Amino acid sequence: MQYLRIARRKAWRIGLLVALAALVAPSAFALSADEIIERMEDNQTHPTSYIEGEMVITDRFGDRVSTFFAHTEGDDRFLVEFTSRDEEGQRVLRRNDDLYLYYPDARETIRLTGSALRDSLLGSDISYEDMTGGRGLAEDYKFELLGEETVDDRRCYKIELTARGTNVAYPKQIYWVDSEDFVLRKSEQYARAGRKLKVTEVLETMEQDGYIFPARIRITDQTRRSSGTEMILHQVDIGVDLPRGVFSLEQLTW
Amino acid sequence: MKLSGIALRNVFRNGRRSLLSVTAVAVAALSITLLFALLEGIRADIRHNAWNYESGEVRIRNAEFDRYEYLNPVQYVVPDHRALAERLEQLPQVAALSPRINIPAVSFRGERQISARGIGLDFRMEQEYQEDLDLIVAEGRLPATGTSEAILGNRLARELGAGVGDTVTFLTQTRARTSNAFTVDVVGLAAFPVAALDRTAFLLPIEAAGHYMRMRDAASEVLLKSTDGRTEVLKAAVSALLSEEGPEGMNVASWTEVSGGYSYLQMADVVYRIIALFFFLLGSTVIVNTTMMTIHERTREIGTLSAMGMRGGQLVRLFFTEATYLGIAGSLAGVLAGAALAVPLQYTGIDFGAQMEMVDMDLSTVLYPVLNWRSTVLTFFYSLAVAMLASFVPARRAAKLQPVVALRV
Repeated sequence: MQYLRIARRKAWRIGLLVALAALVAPSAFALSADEIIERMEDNQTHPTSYIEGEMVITDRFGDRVSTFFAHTEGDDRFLVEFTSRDEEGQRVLRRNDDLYLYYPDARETIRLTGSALRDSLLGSDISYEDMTGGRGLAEDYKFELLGEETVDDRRCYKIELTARGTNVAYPKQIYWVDSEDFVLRKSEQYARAGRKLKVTEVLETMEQDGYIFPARIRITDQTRRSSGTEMILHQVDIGVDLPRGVFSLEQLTW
Repeated sequence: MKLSGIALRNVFRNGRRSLLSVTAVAVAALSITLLFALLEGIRADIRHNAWNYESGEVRIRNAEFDRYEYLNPVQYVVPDHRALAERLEQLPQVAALSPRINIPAVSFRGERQISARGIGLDFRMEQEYQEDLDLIVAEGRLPATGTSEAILGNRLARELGAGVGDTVTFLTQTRARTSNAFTVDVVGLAAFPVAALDRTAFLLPIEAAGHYMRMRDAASEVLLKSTDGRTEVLKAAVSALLSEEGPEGMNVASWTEVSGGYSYLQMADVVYRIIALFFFLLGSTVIVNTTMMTIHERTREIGTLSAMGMRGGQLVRLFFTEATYLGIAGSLAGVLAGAALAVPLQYTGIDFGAQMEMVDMDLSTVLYPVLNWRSTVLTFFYSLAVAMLASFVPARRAAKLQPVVALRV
């Protein structure tokens, strides 16, 4: 009888431990919003890369295509050069937080500051400001995991990004990050008053040298009528040797 | 004694009162003469500016550009403007034409963006189109063909902190709806007659503008002037040529249809005529007052004249003739004084300077009144008619006075 009582007590304790373990286990193994964003950034940041692609810009007057190639280093240095006939030789250089434009018909480079950063890149849905972000989101935003949702049949973490200060393009963003490959599948950008400004959707991804990244992205400026921009990457080489001084201002005008 | 003689004698019976009446009519006539001269000057100025800088006398544009003008769709162009110009020049109604390329531009000064509007011109054709083009050069010279030179509006140059010998870089949107930037050498500063142009415009050779805008032989618009000022005839001839030989999809418009200045002029014309009427009414109240005072003072005399057999109609004519003499003197003096003031102003102009600087209209800062002899003569007769009509009612009252009643006063 005594033995039976002890056995019952043990069984109850084991049951309690199992129940506790079952409750604790999900939070022990799930990722936090910060960790998800970190893994997403790791996935989309490369030491160096060479990219070739095109932008298909749609507005109420029709479609047009701009082709380009780009060199990148880390997440805050890139040089984009356009190769399509109407923009041939035009370049956009990002060095840290500075953005410079070079046009073959101009004898000086244009450093974009202030409200000029809100202007559109070649009339697309991408603003110059969109090209300056991305360096350590944690510096500028606080993250909150809102839950999980399915985007194009992919299970995604839904994360809200709230700006820490005012020196960012968007006070609030919502990211949908793939729970398997940590690719950003969709994002929405909002104004301070809550108005939706932009939607970015990843239509295709590609894998290269162990990295998975968006290969076709559609960006829609919600403030413009009948507008949309598709960014399509045709070639991505990771870990390439960059041309010497490729991110220098001297090289920009050369 | 004839009625006219009695009336003339009566005018001088109370010199001061007659002088007051004459002065009232004269002031009204002078004001109207000046007002009409100024209106005529504004009309000529708006037409000059619209024809040279805005719409031409007749304008050819892509119809789709007109449709979406609020979006500034620079991709809608007039194709192969040189070939089109050659065909247009064959039309006997065309005195001069000017193909143009408009450049929406912005220049960066630190964090400031300064908006500007480039106008690409064929300076050889432009000398013919705008005979007084050289007059806008305040400093330096006009750009040379085949260069990247530009002449900037005075105020735009000040905003940019640029002068002759400097370079300025502008960012623009091209015909391909993409962006481009270009640098121009400033070779001159222009004193555009219109403040809005002075604040924003720069002129450059059409070849350079076409290259920067990726226009590929196209122009934004072609402006035309007629040989004889018959705008509608020119418009019909150009429309017929385009519908027969193309290019298709063009819109031919006369300046009266598209010029903002012309609409203003139509409105101003009505407003100024109302003001003129107001001046006449003001002047006529003095005439009415003077005539009534005269009748009141001469009631006994009217009674005597009636008793002696003068009929009512003759009395009306007497006072009417008196008013006519006063009206002639006042109107003539006013019109002549107005003309004497307006004629020198035709040459010196009236500088509205600061008041006009922020006005976004094709009106010059210095306005030159133009004395139109037809309207001046009409002003004289209007003034006279108003003065005569003003005396009619009190004169009829005098004619109705009973001699017995009048003699008792």
